[in-house]
Amino acid sequence: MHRIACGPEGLDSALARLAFVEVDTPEDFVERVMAALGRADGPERFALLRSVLQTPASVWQTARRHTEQTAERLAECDRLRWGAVASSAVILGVVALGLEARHLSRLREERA
Amino acid sequence: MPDATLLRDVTSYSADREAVGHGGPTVRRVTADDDVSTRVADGPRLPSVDEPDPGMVARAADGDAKATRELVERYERLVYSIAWKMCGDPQNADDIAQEAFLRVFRGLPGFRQEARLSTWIFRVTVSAALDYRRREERRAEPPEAGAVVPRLAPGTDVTFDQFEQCRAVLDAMAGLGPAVRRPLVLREVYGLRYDEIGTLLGRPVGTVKAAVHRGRAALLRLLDGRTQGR
Repeated sequence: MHRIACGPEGLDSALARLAFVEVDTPEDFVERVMAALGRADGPERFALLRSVLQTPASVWQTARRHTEQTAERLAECDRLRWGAVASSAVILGVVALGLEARHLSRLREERA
Repeated sequence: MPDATLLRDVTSYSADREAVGHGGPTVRRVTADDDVSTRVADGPRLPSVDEPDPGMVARAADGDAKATRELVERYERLVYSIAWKMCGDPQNADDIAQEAFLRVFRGLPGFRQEARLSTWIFRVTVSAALDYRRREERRAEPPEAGAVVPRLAPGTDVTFDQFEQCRAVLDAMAGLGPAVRRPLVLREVYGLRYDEIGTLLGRPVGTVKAAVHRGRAALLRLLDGRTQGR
């Protein structure tokens, strides 16, 4: 083992110099850190984008058409549903008014 | 944990300091009569790393893969070296360094750039090393010789003998237990103040001083050098 000839003072200097001594990292260290960070690397991102770009245009158009048709059907269902609710409310209102009118009429006859 | 203002780069010079790098941080030669509480005026002592431009840091904080990789590549040796000096074991150093980078990028959005990024990364790495105890306590034997390759940081200028001394000390430090190695590294290698180390370790200053003293004595015994009443 190497002797520190100067004793404690030599050790002081050697220890302080250790701040500037670095050790090599393993070869794949950066890759493992990137993987641990979950950062998609350039090539992986491009592979994903490429698969999207390679999908035929006709497939995109069919999908878009089906989506639009579905949206229209859902909107129609909504319109019918709200129309039924509105109609029911009107009917219930009319019935309530009729019952109230009959009640008031009976009260007038009893007083008379 | 000390705040960033306690961990400043070494910027001051005095006539009795011995330059180690070209225009870089200096090493002060100390004697047995020195008041150890004033031995180190600035800290931490770190190799020079070019600060990245704020734009790159911001992009990395946003998750940009390219900027992230650039930062990892820029600081990998600093982080790994700190981790290895703190734990003395390449396998543990690997785990600590990875954890340190996870913490760096988790905290990067909050980094205000008031301190140097290297100073902040140093603090994060030390914190990761101190939190990582599991394998170190199980390890019975020091790592085999040649398991790590020490090099001088760019811009550092030392003689061959001085570098060989550093290698010998590194080998000897691997045989130290964590209770003395950690305070010894933080104080004698990176130049932190005793109160800063006490805060990091959660120990009183007196305990830290005693551990550093024991660590130095153990190193001197391991290196077969002389002790002079320290």
